[in-house]
Amino acid sequence: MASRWLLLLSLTCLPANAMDIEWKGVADMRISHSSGIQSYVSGQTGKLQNSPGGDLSLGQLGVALNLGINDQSSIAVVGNSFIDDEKNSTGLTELFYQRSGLPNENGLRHGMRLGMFYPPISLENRATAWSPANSLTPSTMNSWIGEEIRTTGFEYTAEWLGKFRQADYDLKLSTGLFTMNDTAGAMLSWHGWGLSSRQSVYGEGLPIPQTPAQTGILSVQAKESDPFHEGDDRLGYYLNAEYLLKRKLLLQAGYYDNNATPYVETDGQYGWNTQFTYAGFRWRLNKQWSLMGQLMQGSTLMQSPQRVNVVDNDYRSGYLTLSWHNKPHSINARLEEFSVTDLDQTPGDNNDEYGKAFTLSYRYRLDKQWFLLSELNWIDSNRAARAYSNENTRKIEQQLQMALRYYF
Amino acid sequence: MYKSPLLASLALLIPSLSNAATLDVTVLNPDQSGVQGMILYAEPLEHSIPDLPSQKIEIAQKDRAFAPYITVMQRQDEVEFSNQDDFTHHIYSISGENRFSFKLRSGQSKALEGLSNNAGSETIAMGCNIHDWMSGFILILDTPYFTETGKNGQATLKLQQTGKYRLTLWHPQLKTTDNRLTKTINLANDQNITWSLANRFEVVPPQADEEDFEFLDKY
Repeated sequence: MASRWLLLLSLTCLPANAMDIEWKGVADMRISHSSGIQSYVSGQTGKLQNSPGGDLSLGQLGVALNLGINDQSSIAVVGNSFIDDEKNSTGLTELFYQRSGLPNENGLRHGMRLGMFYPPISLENRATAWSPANSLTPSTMNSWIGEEIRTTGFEYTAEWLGKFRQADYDLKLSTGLFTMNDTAGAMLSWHGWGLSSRQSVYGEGLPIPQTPAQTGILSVQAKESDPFHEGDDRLGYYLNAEYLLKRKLLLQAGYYDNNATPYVETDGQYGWNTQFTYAGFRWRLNKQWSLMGQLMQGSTLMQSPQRVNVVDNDYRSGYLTLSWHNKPHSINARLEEFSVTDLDQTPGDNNDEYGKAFTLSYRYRLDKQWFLLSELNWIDSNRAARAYSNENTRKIEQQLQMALRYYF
Repeated sequence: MYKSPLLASLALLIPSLSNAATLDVTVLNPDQSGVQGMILYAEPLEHSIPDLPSQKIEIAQKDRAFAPYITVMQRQDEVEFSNQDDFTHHIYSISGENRFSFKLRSGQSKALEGLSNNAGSETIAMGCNIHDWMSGFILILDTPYFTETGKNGQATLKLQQTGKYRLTLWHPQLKTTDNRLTKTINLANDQNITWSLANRFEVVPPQADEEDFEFLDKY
């Protein structure tokens, strides 16, 4: 694993004078007030980014450096910092070499990435340093992508640009081969779905809620899950397809499979054989109104070294967002539904969960680069594992957030 | 949208041995509605055109679009790209011998060099490799006689000399061979021509960025 990082780092040591350096960033200073239970971010069973009470936090400080090698090749380095009462984390979120060729006369363009990056799944996290463009908090589905899904490997993309063929649509197909994502599914199983704009930084450990199984049958498991862990040196893969019609309607579908060996445990980290399919759309109805949605469905399996199923879960999450834009205002209303279905018989480790969430966000543009955002999060969840800490399994949690965001 | 009126008026000042003539063209759809926004140019077939001084033409990148969408130039003209946005553009052309690619930072300008020396007209289709919806075209001509159809499909060319001309209608969205329609005319004196298209044509405005939020990245 170390050799992979040396390779990546050596790429960044190309002579600085040969590079064309550009940088972008986002700073998100936030105040929030939550009610409910202690947050999953600090290893408890609450669904919100913050534990009950008020908090003044650095929602995000993200910097994206682009080191241009030539017109078509560059190295992207993205660092992020998230500082609040739950947890402070600062580090790399993406580091990759990318090449984007020019289209040929038929509009076909080839591109590739090599390194650590997000697979092209979230339709919400599209702004600088993977920040969500229209809201403070992405959906439960994309909160999970930011927490546990990061691919280190190679991605190839083919795109057909319609404008060079007198066609009114673009088509984009990507496929990736990756490593270092063998624990994806652990946190989704053990704390379920959550709402957070955090992103795991390289080297970060994710605290696991304590259950009877964690201190018993799962005592080999480290206290924190490492989302960048590689245990079996097997490659995972993903596929993503996007169809964009007249720049008004985007359709997306894809598949992810980390291909991890579920019975291999290394350094206290189990392999989680995790796969999911997803589909989404973004539809610009007119200048003011747009509608967006994504749906994900998948499974994850973790076994004992004797190959007995220890955690075997199916999961599902979907959201629908209605947006209204009228400069300088933007309002987003998002409804979502999510579940985890526990299919194994492991005692003291019931991962069953079902919930619904509603998020109302308002974004006001103060100035060219300054935005004021406020957001209400409401999440109603029933999680069986809360009984282990003598809590009601069903909880309704709410959060009000206000942030000043600066893009630079 | 292009630099022709100046050229056309300059051309009129040059003393001519032959008779000058004005050509009025009206381009109509099958339903008799005028076709606006088409490029019309005339190439003399039996006489040559005097050498004209080169013009400086600017193609701006403004509000994440090429401004203008269509630039018509003569081969000796100089083209300069000027990025008036707050961020970098990566301008490229995919067209044959006139392929090019360069990044242009905010506030920077760059002259276009190395265009081909082919005779006749050529089209350059351009894009931005960062903002995929951006689309621009350059039409290179060997003639100073070009204009654009206005409201009601009308266009006027002031020709220095009567004689035989090839007239061409061009638009990048025209679905014909090379996006062109041509006809040959013999011009003896001022003339009005009605050019009726076999199929309905209407210029679709070039794709624009639909987002009101410009801090998006390629995720």
